[in-house]
Amino acid sequence: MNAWDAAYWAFQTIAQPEAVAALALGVVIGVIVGAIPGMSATMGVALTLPFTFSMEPLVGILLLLGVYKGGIFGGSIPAILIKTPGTPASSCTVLDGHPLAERGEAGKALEMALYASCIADVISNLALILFAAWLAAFALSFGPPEFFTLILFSLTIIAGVSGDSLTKGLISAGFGLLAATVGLDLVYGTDRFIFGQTELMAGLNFIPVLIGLFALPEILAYLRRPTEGVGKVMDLGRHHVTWREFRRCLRGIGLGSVIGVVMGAIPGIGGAPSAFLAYSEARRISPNRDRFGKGELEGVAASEAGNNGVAGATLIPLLALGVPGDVITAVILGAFMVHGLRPGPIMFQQNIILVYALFMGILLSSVFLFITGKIAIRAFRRVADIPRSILYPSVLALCVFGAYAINNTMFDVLVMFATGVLGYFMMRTGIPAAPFLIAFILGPMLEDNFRQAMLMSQGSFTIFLRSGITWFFWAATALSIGLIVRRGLGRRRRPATAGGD
Amino acid sequence: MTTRRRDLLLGIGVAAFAVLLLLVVIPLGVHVPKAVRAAVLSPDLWPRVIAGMLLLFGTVLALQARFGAGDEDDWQAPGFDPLAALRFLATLGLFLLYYWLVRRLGMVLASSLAILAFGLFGRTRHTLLLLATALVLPFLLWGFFYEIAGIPLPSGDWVSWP
Repeated sequence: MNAWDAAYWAFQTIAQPEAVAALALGVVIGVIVGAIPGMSATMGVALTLPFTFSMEPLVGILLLLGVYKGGIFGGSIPAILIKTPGTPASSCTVLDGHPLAERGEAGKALEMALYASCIADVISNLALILFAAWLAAFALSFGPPEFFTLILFSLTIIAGVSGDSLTKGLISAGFGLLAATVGLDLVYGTDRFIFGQTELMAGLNFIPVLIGLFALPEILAYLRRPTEGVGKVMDLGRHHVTWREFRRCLRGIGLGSVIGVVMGAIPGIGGAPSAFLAYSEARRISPNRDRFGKGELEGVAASEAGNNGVAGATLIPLLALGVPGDVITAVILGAFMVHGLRPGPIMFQQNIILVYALFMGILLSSVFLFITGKIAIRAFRRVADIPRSILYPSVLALCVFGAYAINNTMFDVLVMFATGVLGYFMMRTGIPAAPFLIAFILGPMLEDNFRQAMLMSQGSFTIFLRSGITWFFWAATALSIGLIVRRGLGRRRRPATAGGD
Repeated sequence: MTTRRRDLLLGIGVAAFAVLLLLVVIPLGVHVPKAVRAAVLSPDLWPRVIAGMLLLFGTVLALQARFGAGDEDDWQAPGFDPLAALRFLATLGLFLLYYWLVRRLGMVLASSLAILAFGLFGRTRHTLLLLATALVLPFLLWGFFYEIAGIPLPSGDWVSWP
């Protein structure tokens, strides 16, 4: 089948009403979830995932991609209206968005956030379409040793999601890798950490682990010390973005989009650093740099372009190589697996229609984001002050239904409660949960490829140096670790120097 | 307790757990067949490597906390709050009660009661909204999972519905 035939069939597939409806619904859910402080886009994707089990793979994945895209934009609504970012990626939007809201121009700030988000999203999606197929074609020559070194390199993204302490991030990843070893051994089929529990033979399912780690700790923290209040929700005002203002912000939007695409394609960076870099670069080149931080529209545009530019680009390594770029794409990778699909170069050969249909759906998501965003600015702003004493019990019920629905067993609900308590303990001790999840998903792939390579070479480690690709990934891993160590040392020196001064 | 002391205890705890893994849990929990072709293919290799990693990182964390330079992050955590601790334990108890009730009343009714209980436990001031949520949400979820997705939600020993 040539590319045009595949595109034709993909169009037929995506044109199904349920696929379009799922995407639109996903964007709406994402915007609502993103707009609620205390809920994250990751949590939104995690809670939506069980609802996709009964859907066609394409429909289910489009729903999740919609939640992802909507969630990233939705985070800007409370960031501007109540100075509380709905998602970490929108924390930079607070800097200028909230001062604008305080001046009675919240509607204008939200409109600019929406325009910047949609433009950056389109640019990011085009980058995905241009580069993913090329990268996948290159990755066709990968065997187990190449994949082992690639996944090893991908694990260095843990540094990017470790927060303040890399050591704690590595400990979290260690526990994730350990949890992934539960079940039957891949080569010999013998027991590993089953201890007579037949439910554990297939290993721990990733969905209860995901829900437990990302949704339950928030609920536990709330119930331990219930506080209802969020900030005061600002009025939207009557101001709208003028054409002149939009044109003035275009340079920052373009710059932010490119930064978002580049940073999104590199595993482990994510939306928040990209937004801050885009913001600082836009400030550097702006003639209004003195007004940044005091309610400058260009600041809102650049930070939103920076964080939304990441959304499509993070899917490049996911679709082309089968490795996630951040924690949400790790969840989406899990969703592919739940639906019996394995992203990577083989998917571009065996499921090209699905891949093209996903590309079309992703492009369409930008249109839905624009429409939903326009409505959301007026309609969903009150979502930001939904009472937590109603929200969290409802989320808990969703968690229980979702965890049960995977294998129709209450054992998974128990696993979810257990990982929820673990997640809460991690939250209290400053151990980040994202490395756990990424390692939990990548761990079996790493071990599987390692052991396959060992079987191929009959135990000789030289197989991991057999090609230029493995050398490239070893070098990239070494470089990545070097940069992490350098950054860590820099962070240590800074307080010492400050103390000395 | 300062974060430094917390991290010291955490590092020691992780390292101790890793030692326990290496000496007790892996030998008991991982079945290694006699006919393993090469040590690198053994089912216990990966768990041992991971346990080694945990031992290393736990030790590093403890050493960082003990000998590392202090910085502005070394804050004094608020003192032990018995009420919050009690509420945390009560929440865990409510989780277990929810799990137990699913077995007795079925998923839908147990979820209705759980939403009510957790909402009241969270000191809601929106009692009517809570009541409406407790009545509506589990039935919506039942409608989707049971009626649309065809997932057999558990019915209870006392109430055999759905």
